[in-house]
Amino acid sequence: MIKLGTEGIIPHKIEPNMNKSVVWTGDKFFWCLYVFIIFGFRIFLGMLGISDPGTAWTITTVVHSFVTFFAFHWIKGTPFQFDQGRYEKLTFWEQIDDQVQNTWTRKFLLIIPIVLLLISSHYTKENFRFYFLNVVCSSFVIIGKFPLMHKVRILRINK
Amino acid sequence: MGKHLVSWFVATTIYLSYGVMFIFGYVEEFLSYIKRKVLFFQKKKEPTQPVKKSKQLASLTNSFESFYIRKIYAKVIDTYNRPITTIPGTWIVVRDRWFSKGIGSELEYTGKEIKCLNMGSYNYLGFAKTTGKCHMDVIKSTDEFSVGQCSTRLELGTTRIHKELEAEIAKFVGKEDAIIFGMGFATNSTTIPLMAGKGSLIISDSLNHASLVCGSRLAHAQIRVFQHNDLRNLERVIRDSIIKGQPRKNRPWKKIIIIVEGIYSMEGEIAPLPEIVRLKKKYNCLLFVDEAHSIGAIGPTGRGIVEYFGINPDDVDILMGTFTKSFGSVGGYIAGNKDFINFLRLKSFGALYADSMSVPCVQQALSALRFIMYDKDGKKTVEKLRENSNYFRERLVRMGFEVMGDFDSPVIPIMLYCPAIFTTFSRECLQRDFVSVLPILLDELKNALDIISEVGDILMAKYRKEMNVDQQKLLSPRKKFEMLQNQQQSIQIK
Repeated sequence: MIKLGTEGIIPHKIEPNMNKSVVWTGDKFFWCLYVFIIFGFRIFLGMLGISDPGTAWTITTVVHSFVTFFAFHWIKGTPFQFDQGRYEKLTFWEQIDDQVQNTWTRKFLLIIPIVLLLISSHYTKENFRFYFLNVVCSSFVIIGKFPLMHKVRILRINK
Repeated sequence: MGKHLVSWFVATTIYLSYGVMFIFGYVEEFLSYIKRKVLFFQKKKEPTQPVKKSKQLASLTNSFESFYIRKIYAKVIDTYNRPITTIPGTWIVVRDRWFSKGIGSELEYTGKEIKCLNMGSYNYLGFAKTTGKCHMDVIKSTDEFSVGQCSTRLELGTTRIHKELEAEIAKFVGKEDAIIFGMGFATNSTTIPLMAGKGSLIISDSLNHASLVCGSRLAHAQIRVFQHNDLRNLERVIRDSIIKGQPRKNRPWKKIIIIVEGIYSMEGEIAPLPEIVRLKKKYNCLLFVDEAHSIGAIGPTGRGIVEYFGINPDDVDILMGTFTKSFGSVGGYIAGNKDFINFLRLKSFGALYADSMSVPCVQQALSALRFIMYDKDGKKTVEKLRENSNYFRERLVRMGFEVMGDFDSPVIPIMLYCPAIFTTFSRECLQRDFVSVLPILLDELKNALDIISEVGDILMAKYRKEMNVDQQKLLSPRKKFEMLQNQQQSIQIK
């Protein structure tokens, strides 16, 4: 049975997390679903007829990077008005777990693009173009999740 | 009633449902953004003219902030705020509405009026009616005092009837004195700022009502939140706050107020008051209980959650309640010590600046209260409510629905989780003449249960069907508390 509860008590704080737009990221079922969707997408590409594993994994990595960069590091604030602009300047990634760094949720979400990068680079060792594409796209997503990038806006983009 | 557990299949569908709604919302936003840019580029006239840059003002809302309301809530808005044309009794007439140009656009009346079984009002004891003794008393008082006093309580707004209601409600809940206000929300938001000044701490439940949150924010006190009905978390938060003290210089707190509700309106859960009182005494805090839904609705004679658990009313420092739910009137009251209530009479914003409660409303609340207290059928009405709610709840649980809340509570929410499911549930029920106060007749209840069961089968919303209904879960909080006490006593005897 899956616990669908959204009472996320952040490990370093005793108060419950009241931010409804992010509290579901700590849900273990979401983690399983996330991994399934990524592998499902890879299998879907296989069914489309892309037999070369390097190409398929590169596409998966690149699409995943674009989607998660937009969803986690570009979108700011919450879609609800009752938060009254409290999280207006924080991206989705920064809002997770009430801005506490290095929680298990953040570690998990950091490991996923790293693992994808490892898998893709294994299959594209010969093909330099794809390898380069993989590394560049993944680096945006991976570096954005480091604790030292918390609230950092490079060149005032997305301030 | 226990943790929310669903099967993998249901959990996947719920996530997918939300995901699809959000993705479609984003795509729509993106496309309309592109359309606006294309129109601007082609220098065509846009539906709303952009303001010249020199006169540009800051926008009222961020487009992303209102995303949820515009893209997701707008698609299901016909199931909320349904307009009715009769009093909210057992049967209610709903004016049908539908979207004018496809789902997500404005609503318009279709002209149909549907007579439905009403299970969605707070009319717990059935006092919202246009016949009977309360109604005659109200007409008499309007003849004597007119509709409004046109004054605040402190100036010329206090009449004999206001004083009578205050005395009666204080006697009802077991406190020394009480003060009434014309609006339930205003009762909380205008008096909590006076209770908790600078240097004090408010510890409130995470699912407290907006009026309590509003009042707490207006106060100059610090606010800390604890997990809903979780006593271990409450104790941790209290201990943590007492140890750390005030934010910057770690000075001790002037006072600590714990704010809980008797029955939570959205969850139907009853607060574990005996344990909270024990914690309050252990750590020397004050306790504020908002009995908006529990006054008149639980307890053997309807005196609320304090009587339900058999606690001494002196243990709870401030009792607040409203007349909107069980008494068929408007407004709220606060009951406490005489000194405290006199302080509120002189200083609270509700008494100083707001108009006094309208006399017909006061009379309605007074007549309803006197009926519950002194009439021979008063106690029976409260009993009937309890029996009906327990019967309804037990039948729903046995059907396999995921029902939240505790036994003995008149608020019975069914968790459907998935946005597609709960909106379709509402629309299907409306088609079957059923709108989600408990009716007094048992036949109507059974009819209602059949409708709910039918719709639940169609939508596969009976999440707990395969699970055995645990006997332990069918106990009410009062019985659990008694069992706990018996265990403790038997341990002591040993």
